[in-house]
Amino acid sequence: MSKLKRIHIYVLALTACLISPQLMQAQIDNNYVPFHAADGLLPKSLYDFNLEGIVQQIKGGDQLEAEKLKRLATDIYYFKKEYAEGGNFYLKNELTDYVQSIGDEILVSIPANKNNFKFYLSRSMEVNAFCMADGTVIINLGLIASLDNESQLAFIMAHEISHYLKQHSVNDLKRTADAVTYDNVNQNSNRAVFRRLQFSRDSEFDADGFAINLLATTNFDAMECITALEKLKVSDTLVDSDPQQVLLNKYFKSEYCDFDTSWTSEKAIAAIHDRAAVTSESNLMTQDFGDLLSTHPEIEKRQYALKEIMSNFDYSDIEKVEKFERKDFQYIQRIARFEMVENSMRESYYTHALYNAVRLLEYYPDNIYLNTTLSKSLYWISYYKEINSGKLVVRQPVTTNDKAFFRIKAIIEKLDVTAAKKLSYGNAKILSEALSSNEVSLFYMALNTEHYLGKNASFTYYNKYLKTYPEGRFVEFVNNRLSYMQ
Amino acid sequence: MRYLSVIILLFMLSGCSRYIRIERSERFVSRQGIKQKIICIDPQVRLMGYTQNDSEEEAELENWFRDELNYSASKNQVDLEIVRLTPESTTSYYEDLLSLKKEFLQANNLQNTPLNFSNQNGYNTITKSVFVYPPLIAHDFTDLSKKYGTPYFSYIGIYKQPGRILYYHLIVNTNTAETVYRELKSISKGSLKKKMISQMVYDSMAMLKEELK
Repeated sequence: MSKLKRIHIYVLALTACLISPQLMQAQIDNNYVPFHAADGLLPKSLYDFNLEGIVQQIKGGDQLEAEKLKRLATDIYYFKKEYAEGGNFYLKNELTDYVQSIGDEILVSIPANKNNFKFYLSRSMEVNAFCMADGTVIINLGLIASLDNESQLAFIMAHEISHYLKQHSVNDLKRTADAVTYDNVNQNSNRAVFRRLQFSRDSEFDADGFAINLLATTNFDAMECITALEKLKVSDTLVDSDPQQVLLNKYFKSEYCDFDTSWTSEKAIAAIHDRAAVTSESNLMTQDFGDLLSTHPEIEKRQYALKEIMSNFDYSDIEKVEKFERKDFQYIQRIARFEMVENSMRESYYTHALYNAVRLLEYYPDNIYLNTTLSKSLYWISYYKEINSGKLVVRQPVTTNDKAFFRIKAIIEKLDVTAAKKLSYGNAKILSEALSSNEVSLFYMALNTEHYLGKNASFTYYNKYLKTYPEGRFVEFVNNRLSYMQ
Repeated sequence: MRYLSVIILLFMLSGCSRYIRIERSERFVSRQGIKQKIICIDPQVRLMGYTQNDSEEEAELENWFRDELNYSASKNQVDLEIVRLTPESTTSYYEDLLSLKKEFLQANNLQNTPLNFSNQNGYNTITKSVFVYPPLIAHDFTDLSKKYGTPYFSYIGIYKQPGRILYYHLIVNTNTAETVYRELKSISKGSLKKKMISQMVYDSMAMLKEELK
């Protein structure tokens, strides 16, 4: 290859690198396509695990009795199998690459352990992550969406990595077995349960401390661990991402829906929040036992412990590893929130879908995916209200303390069937006018018109769909619908 | 001797303490019937809240259950193709079919089905009279029929809970986004016997055979 040609290729590659982030940004501005892997065989890492392999992977497993080790490996095997068979893991995409990159950077200083870890990204919207005794680390999508920066994610991952390195599962099993024997001899078997919980809480403190050691060699900011822990709890104190209700009024108030402002008053929101908090905790847990009945210490205790550790930590003479190149966290976090919208729809968590979509619309008001998701969510909410299952659809786990979420929840709960259908129809109409050349918006316009105004009114839209999109993705449905109506 | 017949009758009935109850068997196929292949996504057996050895027993039962489904389907001329997670599985199986399965289980759970009995508080007279549609699923799966050559996808599962065993069978038509068939049977008590499951599976496929006509 001539020198000139080579320079030409380098210039092209450099240009591609420079413009790609902007292209990605532009893609999110206009539309979003949820992750969907290209056709092909599933990657081996998703199904290719066996009991013997897991037994060998368990760090310190040789310290357990053979039967206990087999039991632990079997539990891990079936948990992973169930998780994979449920389609809960993401296949390779830019979010999984990002998680892998953070994991790799943490593990640079301990290269001997690098191959012991497998990082998976789960579709779960719960703000959490966990590690199994065989080095499988599962990061939930909800965690990425809720954090502020990559250092916070690095701390959580370092914490999970520490559980494996410090053999917490194996040690807790051993210590519990010893305690059970002791307690049985002393005829106090109930105490074993509390001991096990105590061992688990000890392990959490230990993992927090060791995570600081791991991060010391990296370029992540270890001080972010305090805020990272804060994000793990759904606080009792409500925050307000939209105090003026600008977004709420923009997307819910129109000639088709004029909700009563008293529904979203401070008092009403607090009542809904309190109700959700009570239903999410058992009566036993609402009593003031602190963390006595929990596997994890109270967040506040962990934060104090970390502050103590860091105030005495000597960072001098620690050689830092080279920083890895990866995408901007804010971009990754927003992609995670887009995926939260998609997963909320898949789980029929329509209130969550509306909330996450509205939050993203603040940044991307013209995004087609978000706007059509609003239309879809409202259609399904009105449908479920009509068949008297509305209560089931809004009864969903609460994973945020944002007042904006509770305002949307309040409106969805209070709207009666007719008002919900009218809102859904009105939203679809406004959207189909704004996005006149969009297939999904036209389809939902037809669907909503049939739902609210009956079949005759919807003929025009169904026929327009067939004419405009003869190869469209909803053609089979529309043909069936039209033949049913005739 | 006068009561001998009564005693014999009571003796016979004592054997009926374990019985299969048909909680719900609904067919929504009113116009066309099921004329094409049915793709059965990942049939499962789940033993809930039992001993630590459940997982191994589940796996063994699941293998047997799949064979039993194939056998009963072929005996009743039901064109059933079972797909599940194996080393040969494709990304389409993982992303399309598992999403579809989750969708129609969730939709049927929310749309007044006794699959989740705890949700039956809202199941009142008004609902019964208003609820005239087949349970609907999301419209996002309507183009799957082009890819898989059939719009019919099903899920068959057995859930063993303390005090009862549930068997359910759901079939959806992705072209119309409707549930076309759903059946729920329960066994009030007793252990999970293979013979009893065989009977339920065979009965289920025999009922499906009627839909194929």
